[in-house]
Amino acid sequence: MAAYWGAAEMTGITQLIDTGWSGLDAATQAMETVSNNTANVNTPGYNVESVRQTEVPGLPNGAGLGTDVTSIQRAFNQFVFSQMVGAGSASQAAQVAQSNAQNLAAIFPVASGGAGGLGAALTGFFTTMNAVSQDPTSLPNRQTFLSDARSLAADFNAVGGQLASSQASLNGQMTDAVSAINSLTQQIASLNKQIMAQQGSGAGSPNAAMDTRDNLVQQLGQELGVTVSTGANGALDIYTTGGAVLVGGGTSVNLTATSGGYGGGNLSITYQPTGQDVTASLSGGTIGGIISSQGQIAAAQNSVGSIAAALAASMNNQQSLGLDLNGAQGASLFSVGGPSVLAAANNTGAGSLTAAITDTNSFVPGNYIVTKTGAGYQAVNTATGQATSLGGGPSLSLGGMTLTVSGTINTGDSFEIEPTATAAQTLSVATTDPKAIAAASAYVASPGSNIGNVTAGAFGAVAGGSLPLGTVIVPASYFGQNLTVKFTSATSFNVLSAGNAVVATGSFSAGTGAQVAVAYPSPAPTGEVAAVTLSPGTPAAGDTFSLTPGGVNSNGNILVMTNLASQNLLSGQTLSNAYATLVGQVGSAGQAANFAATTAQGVLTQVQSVQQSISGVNLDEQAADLVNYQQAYQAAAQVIASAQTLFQSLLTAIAA
Amino acid sequence: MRISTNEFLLGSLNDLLTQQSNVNQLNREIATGQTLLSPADDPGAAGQVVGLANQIGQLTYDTANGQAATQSLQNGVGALQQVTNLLIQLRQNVVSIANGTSTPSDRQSAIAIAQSTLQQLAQLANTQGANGAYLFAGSKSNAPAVSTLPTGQIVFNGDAAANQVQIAPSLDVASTISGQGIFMDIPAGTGGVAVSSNGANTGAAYALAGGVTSVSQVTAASLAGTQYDISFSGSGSSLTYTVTSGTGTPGSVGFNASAGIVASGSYAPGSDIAFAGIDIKVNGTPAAGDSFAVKPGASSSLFQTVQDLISALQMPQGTGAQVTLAQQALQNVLANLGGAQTSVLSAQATLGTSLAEIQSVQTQTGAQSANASTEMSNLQSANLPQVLANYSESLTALQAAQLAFAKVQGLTLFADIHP
Repeated sequence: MAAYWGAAEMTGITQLIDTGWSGLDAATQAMETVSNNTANVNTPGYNVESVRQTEVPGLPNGAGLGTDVTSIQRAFNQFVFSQMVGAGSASQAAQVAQSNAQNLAAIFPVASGGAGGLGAALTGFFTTMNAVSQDPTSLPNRQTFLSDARSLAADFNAVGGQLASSQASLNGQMTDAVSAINSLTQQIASLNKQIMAQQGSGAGSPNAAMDTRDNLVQQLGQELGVTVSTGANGALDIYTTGGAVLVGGGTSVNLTATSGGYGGGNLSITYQPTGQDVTASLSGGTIGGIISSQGQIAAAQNSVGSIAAALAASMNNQQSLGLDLNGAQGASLFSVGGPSVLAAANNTGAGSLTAAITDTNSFVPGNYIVTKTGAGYQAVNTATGQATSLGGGPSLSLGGMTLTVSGTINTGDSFEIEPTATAAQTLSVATTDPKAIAAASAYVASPGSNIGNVTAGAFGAVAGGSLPLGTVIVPASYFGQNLTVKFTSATSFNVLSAGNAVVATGSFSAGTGAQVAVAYPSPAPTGEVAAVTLSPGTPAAGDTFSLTPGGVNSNGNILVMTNLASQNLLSGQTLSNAYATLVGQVGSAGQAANFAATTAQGVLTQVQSVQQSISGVNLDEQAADLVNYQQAYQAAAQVIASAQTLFQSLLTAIAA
Repeated sequence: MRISTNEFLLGSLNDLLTQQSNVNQLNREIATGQTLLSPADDPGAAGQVVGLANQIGQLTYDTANGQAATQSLQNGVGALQQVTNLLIQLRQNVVSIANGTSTPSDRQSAIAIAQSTLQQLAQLANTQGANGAYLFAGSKSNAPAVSTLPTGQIVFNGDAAANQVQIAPSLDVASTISGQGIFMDIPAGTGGVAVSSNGANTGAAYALAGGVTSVSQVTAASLAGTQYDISFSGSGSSLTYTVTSGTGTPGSVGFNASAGIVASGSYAPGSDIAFAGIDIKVNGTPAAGDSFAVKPGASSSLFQTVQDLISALQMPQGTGAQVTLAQQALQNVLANLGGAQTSVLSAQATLGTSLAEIQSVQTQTGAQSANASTEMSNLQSANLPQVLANYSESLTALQAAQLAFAKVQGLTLFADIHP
């Protein structure tokens, strides 16, 4: 039609009709656009459209030949759109992280009066342990303590289990997000193809296809942070924040969620064309939120696990330094899983690495990657990235842990060490026998009918090395026997076995007294001895002290055990303080996630409002346009009617 | 700025949702009475609450420990008080017998009293707590602290262990005391110096340890196993004494007068004989050839002392010499009973000190615990007037947002144009 008018060389009445007709046609198309705009007022991703009209020029010095609708354009700003995709990504990541942080915080509740949760269970454990120290002979007290130990272990198991299921749920969310990403990138690529074809053929702007595609890009941003750039013929190229191509024109690339290079609990994301683990370079969207939550959950798992490990280690240690109700050396109260060591899938050596926590007090919760380099082994903390050189092995020391290399490990081989990731889940009470609680001191010293004024204190467990040089240490083979210290003179004494054989001879000083010790057998820590102090004074030859194993009412060992509640056992903190720190950290992470989500939402709302001010449909505006175009239509129709009248007048005049 | 219809509605809706979320949070705070519902609400306070709950728990069990220890200590104090009472009665009895002229029937009844006292003392030494544990048996509380051997000797079966319990952070007190130190190995006589008369003495004199003038000399002598022999010679106004020091028991074949004579002089009846830091009073007039053995560093059990008393009361009193020997034995028992009383009283004082300490500490732990509870409540509890005020504010805001939404929703030009 436009070509017909444009080529016309008509003047007068015919021109009048044609010009009027062009106005009618333009108004109709404009009203169709208004109609389309109002119909799509709630369509996601729809950009408001408008007709673009130009005047059809007439002959020189003549009137114009009417109007021409050159195109129907969508109101779209690429820059604002990109900003909106980015803000949507950030907001989604923050929301996912927030919801996970809230779930995490709910695992560590702060009920009224501090009731509930691991903190209360720890306090309860030490409370009933105290009841045993009040009356070590009471079986009901011991039974209650054992029940509380079991419920403490169950609480640790529950927290560990909840954290593990959070981790599993994150893995599920990640798998879902990755398949959504793959489907979205495929659709975007196929729309890119259509758009490029239509633009290339000059068949006009494919507004609907572009709106749909741009909306898909926005959805993609919800899953993963991306950068968007405009390619040839209206195509959009899409990259991950790390720069890997996801959509290039008409082709798309898939991502895969796989268990990482060490086969640990967290899924990782690999880039299919190269098979590379790109998790670390991804951010934004659901995926970005999951990745930051994975770190927080792993940190919580490590912290709560390290509390469980420190509890088990210190209790078991103290158990081995006392006697149970049967008079035997105490056996372990708790059992707990040790560190897990995961070999990288691409290791070339057949050697392996084992790890054990040897000193909980210098242990700092965290996972490590240990790699063999040309210069020996190197450990990198996965959370902080801090690297530590460990030397050549085969025994390596790493933050309270001892790593042992066995077999051949090649340079470049690496291992992931998760020291306490599963400790909370595996904590259990190793005995069901209330008599097995080692409340009694290993030994009690009782004076004979002595003439001298030397007195003996209470036995205590100490490291043999901390005793003064020359202190008598009775070998562990005599542990549990009745022993006698018998002075042979004012300055020397013998230690006699139950059979009155001299097992050791010591010297005594009137000014400083002396110490006598009996070495503990395994499983007590190597070098640990039960020691007693003989006070300074003057003994008479023949004076004796009988050293007998602590009886049923002895509470010397459980008293030390109860004091562990206020001892620094883990990373220089008491167990309770370590738990309080963990709660504080989880809370801070939750609070930070709340702030981040609010901030990201604010930014998104701002960008959305800018985008909507450009591309959104305003119904009032459309109503006004409708009135406007309706009037234009009526006017153009009136022009044609006038032309008809003119023509009629002309015919009448000719006929007359 | 141009605003799209959608945003106009969505914006109003978002405001509405924000207000609803505020109202919901305040609603929960009112319903639970707490502002700290999740560690994320206030991470610092959450950590503090965990710490305070633990502190309160520790103070609670410290208090429970104090109460349990108080009970155990009071049991001990009660038993020892009865021991003291028995000893006082026994002592009065012995004094009256030793001072006057006693008839055989007096002595018979005194024997009966002493035997029943011995039994009661053994029973008190075997006092059991509420849990059946023998209080004075040390750590071996599942067996009686003392038992009687076939020979009649009463022996201690426990050990010297004393339990401690924690009654405040890093403060332990003794909750039990072993009977070994209370009933057994009590220094004999006065200051650990025991005097005995030779069974062959013919004079009418008995000796008492008057006192110790030099503790260090006596200690050195006891450590060295030195004993002394006081022997008399001459008669009337020319009566003299000689103190010989040596090892072994004086008057027996094994006595070795290694150090020779340490003191000598003329003796006036009733006068003190002093040597090597020891002061011996001799009552009555000894005969030539009479001798006394002096042993520093002797000890005796409470039970042995009472058994000695029974033996002394059973001694024949036919001749004057026999009366003197019996008198000597009774005087020795009196001296030992004094030592036993001191030993029991000092044990009572030890337990009393623990009790007083527990009482004063408990007042303090109670106050600390109350402080911690208040602090925790401040961190956790909702300030209800403030929360309620916020709640009504939020409700008003929510209502306003709802009203605005209703108005916005009705605004459309299409309603007013009729093309």
